[in-house]
Amino acid sequence: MNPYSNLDTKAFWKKAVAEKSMFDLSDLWAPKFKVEATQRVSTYGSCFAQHFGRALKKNGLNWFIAEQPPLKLSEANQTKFNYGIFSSRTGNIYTTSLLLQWVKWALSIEKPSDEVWEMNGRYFDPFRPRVEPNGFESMEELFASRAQTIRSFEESFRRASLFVFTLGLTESWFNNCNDTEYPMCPGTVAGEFNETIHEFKNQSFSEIKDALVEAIGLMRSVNPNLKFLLTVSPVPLTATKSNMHVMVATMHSKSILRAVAGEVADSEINIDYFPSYEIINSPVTKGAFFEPNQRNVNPYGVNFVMKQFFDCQEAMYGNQDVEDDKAKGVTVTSRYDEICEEELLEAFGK
Amino acid sequence: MHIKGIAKMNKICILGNSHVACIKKAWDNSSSEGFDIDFFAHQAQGMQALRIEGDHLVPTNDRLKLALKRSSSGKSIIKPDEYSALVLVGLGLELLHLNTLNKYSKAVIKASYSDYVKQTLLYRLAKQIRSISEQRLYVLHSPLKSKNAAPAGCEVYIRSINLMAEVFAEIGNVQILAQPLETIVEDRFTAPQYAKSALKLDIGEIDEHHIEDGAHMNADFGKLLLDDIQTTITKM
Repeated sequence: MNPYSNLDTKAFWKKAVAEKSMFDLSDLWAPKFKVEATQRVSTYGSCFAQHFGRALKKNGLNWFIAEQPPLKLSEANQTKFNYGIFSSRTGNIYTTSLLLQWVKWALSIEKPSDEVWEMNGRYFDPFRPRVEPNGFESMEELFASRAQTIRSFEESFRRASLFVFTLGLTESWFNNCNDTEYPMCPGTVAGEFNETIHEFKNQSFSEIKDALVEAIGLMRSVNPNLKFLLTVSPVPLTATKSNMHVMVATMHSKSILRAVAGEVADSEINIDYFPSYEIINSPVTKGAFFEPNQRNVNPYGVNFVMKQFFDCQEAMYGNQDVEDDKAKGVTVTSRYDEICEEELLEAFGK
Repeated sequence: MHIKGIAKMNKICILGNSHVACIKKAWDNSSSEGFDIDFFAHQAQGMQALRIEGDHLVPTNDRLKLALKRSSSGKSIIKPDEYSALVLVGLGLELLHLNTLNKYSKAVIKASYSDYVKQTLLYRLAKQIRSISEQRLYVLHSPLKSKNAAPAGCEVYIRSINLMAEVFAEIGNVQILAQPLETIVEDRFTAPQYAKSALKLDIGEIDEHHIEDGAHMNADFGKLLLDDIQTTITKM
């Protein structure tokens, strides 16, 4: 007898991987808690997080949209104006420090920045630069809209049972005058870059972990039972400001994010990690789930990831009693254009 | 057909659903001069069965044909070019977002109105008419629901109607008419006195059994609408 003798087959490469088609991979995740159909689930994070909410909804779970679109707004316009992308209209939250910033704004620990970017008579929110594709009509309209989003964001963690967050980037941009963080480098999506004010920071493991732990703690200060599910986006960087090759920078970032997510998830029972990053990026899947640009994830890849999520939930807790049983196991059947500010960086390549 | 007065004659077509009844009743009771109005009405979505034939709108079922004949005193075909102006009433067009207008940007509300309006029977008819006629075209939304509320400002209502007007302007020379402001209470309801002894239609004819469903209005309301329509058309 030795410690490996009684381990499950999933612990051994030969049985779990080498002797299987990659499409038959199973038991990739041992969920720590059941996601009930009645529980409100809020989702935020990087581009890849958008698939998560849609898949939850499609599978009959309760994706919590705290910031609802107006009545009769078509699905196409909901997407255009960033409704139903995340649980509120925050736009992409790529970093844990940006998540923390939103949480502090929501809990009135910090006052939201009054910075506004004006372009051709329209006004853009530096912290949600793409939620209104043509900008706001006035600064007043912009601030009113952001205040609504902040209220909805607060509601989305105060009233949720589960908060899903997909970590996306370590690279980040700050305003060094007021220490606020932008989701995107100023001057890319909107605004104007000013090298004396706008500061690049490639965040370290401890900075990322500390921000995440603080954000979780603050959310739990108003919702002590809130559970967390962390994932890491499998999508490589569009561009890096780190002086590294973009492929090396991608591996650097993702490795740190994966390590943070793992360490935070290991710290307690009500925080879990789901391996969407590994499913897409592991050599086992041979990059098959990427589009030809080896960056965007093909809908089959998204399907495969989400199927693992629901299969593993079912394996651990049994059949989910959802209204639309036919939807089970099926998530994305066609290409869905992610709302992804970071992709706009590609336009700045030489 | 009713012809009142012999001075400069404005020939108008009023086409709609049950909300036409209050205007028709007001017209029947009025002594307006200089106007000649044909009413064409069918309750609910009955006007869906209108189709274009040449430069006319014709009914494609007997029930609508009967409703058109009854409401217009004999006509079963609508010839838009015979009129100096056409007014579309109700036909599924409601004024939305009066409770939630402040939660959204103007661009979002406008997109929502645009998405909504394009699903309505009124919009489809406006497009049909515009495809065969360049005559003036006005639209009136269904009356705001009635409620016993304090007479307060109309600021939200006016912002909403202006946004919807921008959507209709995109169809081309289609103008939205506001509900008379003196009938509006608490920015989003019709004062209850206009919902008393309200009128509906029964296959094109006014149903004289008065109702109080909070959605349909009476001849007093119809008179105010009629005055607004006549004033607007006289100014053109």
